[in-house]
Amino acid sequence: MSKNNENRDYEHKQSVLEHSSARRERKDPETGFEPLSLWFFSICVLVLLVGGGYLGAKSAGFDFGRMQVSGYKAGTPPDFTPAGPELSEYDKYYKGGEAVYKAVCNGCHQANGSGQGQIPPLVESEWVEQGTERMAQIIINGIRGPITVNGASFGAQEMPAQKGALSDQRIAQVMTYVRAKFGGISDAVVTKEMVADARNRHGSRVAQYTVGELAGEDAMLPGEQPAWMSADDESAESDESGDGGEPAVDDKAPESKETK
Amino acid sequence: MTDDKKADEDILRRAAIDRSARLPVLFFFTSATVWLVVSVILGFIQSVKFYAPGFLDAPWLFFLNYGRSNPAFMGALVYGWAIQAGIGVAIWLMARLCRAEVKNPLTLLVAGHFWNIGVLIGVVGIFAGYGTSMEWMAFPKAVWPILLSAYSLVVIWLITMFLRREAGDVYISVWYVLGACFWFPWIYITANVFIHVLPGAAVAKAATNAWFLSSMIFLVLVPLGLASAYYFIPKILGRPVYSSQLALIGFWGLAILGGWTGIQKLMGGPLPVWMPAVSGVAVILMLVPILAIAINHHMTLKGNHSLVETSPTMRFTAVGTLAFTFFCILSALCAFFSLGKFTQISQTTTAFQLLAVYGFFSLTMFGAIYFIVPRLVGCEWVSGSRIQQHFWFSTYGIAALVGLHFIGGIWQSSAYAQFDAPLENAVSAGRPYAIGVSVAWASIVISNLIFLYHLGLMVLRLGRRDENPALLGHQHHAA
Repeated sequence: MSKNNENRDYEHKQSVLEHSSARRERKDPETGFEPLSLWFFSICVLVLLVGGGYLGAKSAGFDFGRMQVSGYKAGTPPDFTPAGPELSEYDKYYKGGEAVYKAVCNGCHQANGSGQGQIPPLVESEWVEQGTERMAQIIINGIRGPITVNGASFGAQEMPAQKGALSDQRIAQVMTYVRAKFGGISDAVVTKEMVADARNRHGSRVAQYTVGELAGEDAMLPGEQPAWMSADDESAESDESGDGGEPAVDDKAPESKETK
Repeated sequence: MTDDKKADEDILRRAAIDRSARLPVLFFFTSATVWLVVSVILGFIQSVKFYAPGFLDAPWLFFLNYGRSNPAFMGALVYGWAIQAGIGVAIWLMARLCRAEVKNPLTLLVAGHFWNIGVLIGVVGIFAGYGTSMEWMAFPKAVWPILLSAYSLVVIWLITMFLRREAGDVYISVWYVLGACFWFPWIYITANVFIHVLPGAAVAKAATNAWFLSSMIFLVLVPLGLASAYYFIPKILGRPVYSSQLALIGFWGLAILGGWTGIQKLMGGPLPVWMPAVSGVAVILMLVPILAIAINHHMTLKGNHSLVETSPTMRFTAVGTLAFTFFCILSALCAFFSLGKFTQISQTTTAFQLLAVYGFFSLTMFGAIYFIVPRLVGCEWVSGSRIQQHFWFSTYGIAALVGLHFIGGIWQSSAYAQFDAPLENAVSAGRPYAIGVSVAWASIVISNLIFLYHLGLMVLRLGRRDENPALLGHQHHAA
């Protein structure tokens, strides 16, 4: 038995010695002792010098309060002019209305104003293109069908009142936007004051309107157009302070308005 | 005892050590390679998603969007492939260099299974939307204790092995393996504690993350890769390493400076300026140990460059260490703001990470695997030309990948720097390069599918029963 084992062990050893990849291997590596050359040290010194200079220039005295390297100038260069599009007062007003439309009206009336199903369209709608008085009424208090828009009847859906959700400014902007975008009327805007007046007169109503209760098709909201609508010369200067919403009361930046 | 007899004893001893290491080392190599293939396929997908989000856009493939496939690919590459392959090589090197047979392989297998489960949970977690958005730490928060305990088991095993070593000098590779043993738990615990457990300010988290990423490269991947290079270059040449002094400078330089690097990436950011400055100077001073290591390898290899032509191990290792030198020089140059401002927030970041993980580390590991596996399974690699294809597809792939990402990133950053121009310019500036990168990824995918197939044959013992190793170039049948 033990003899047999020994034999097998021997055979195994022979096969390892003759065939294994360990056989053709070279010996395990050792470490040599060649001396360091002088130029290695020279390069080290150079690297250390560069590193030291780098640290001296950039570490700013290891001060936790210093967030900028010395020589850093904050702010934009003096000759900097922003390349973004410059918006006229009208465009800012229009864009403010667009934002309101996207947030509030989009869901039912659709981005292109086409409406859907029982929700009437805003495109080619006499309710948009004609009197602003009744348009304001609809937005402030909402409306209940049936209603005929551009020859088609709609009835099953109700539009909720927006007086709680939107400020005078926002209602004015979105009316301007809808009239310009879907009704093509861009020579007049609805102002905050006009909507405030309408809210005073109609805001206390509880229920939604039905069509018969609305003002006539010619009734416009009373009020002046803002100064920047009338001043129409091209000598515009850029006004960076605008927040895209407020109609300016001065005649600071009149610009030709663009139809969308 | 005659010299012949002694040499015979030596061969038997080595063969016995190899046999004892077979199970754990093969386990780590095989699972690492499977993760590698998973990761490079994800790498290809995320590279296409970068410019064509509609690619593979079925509802049930929701998890492949760029925001998930990108961190999943990096996680699988670093933790699934790189560290596992490194552990496999470290186990084998440790056994060989301590001249002790592997005991308790079960410990390693348990650690290996836990590690794989951890990586799997991590990658699936990222796909399911639980990623943490931290670079190289994107696995869900619950994963790091699993990975840490698995790694600790391996560390305990490696240190036990070290304590059982045969008396004599401790070889350079062992220094590096022991270094990686201690450094990984240190940086991994620190980073996870300061990012996941006791998170501070967001800026501090970003700084910790940048430090962690760089330290993972310099204190985990680099030591494991260099351990392999320091073993295989002199081993295949059969001559000693050129200079022990250079080796010492290289090792201690890396040990001292490695943990200071990383934050230079955030220069110009809202941090105290000395933080990026210190990291910058660490990366610059790192050139000293890197120079020492490069000279040491070059002088060892001097006059024997033909071996780079024929030996797969030598070729992969040589190109890997070359990539490492290149990586360090680029890192040092980018520590200067004039270049760094173009490389800190663009595709070039990816170029750096892949140059280190794939260009240096993976190629070195491939070299080691081509040497080790035939000794474990007792048969030879089936075909030299398969190895050749693996090499060329990998090398061309990674070179193109790094080059395109780097140059594309510089274009992209220059467009970012035009602060008065639309941001869209930056996207379109990088776009042609991003498309090129996908082609490079395809090449890397092909290369690693070949490698997986070849390794699979070896693991299934379907290799050549032959005494001649698979060599590159003209097949000369010399031992």
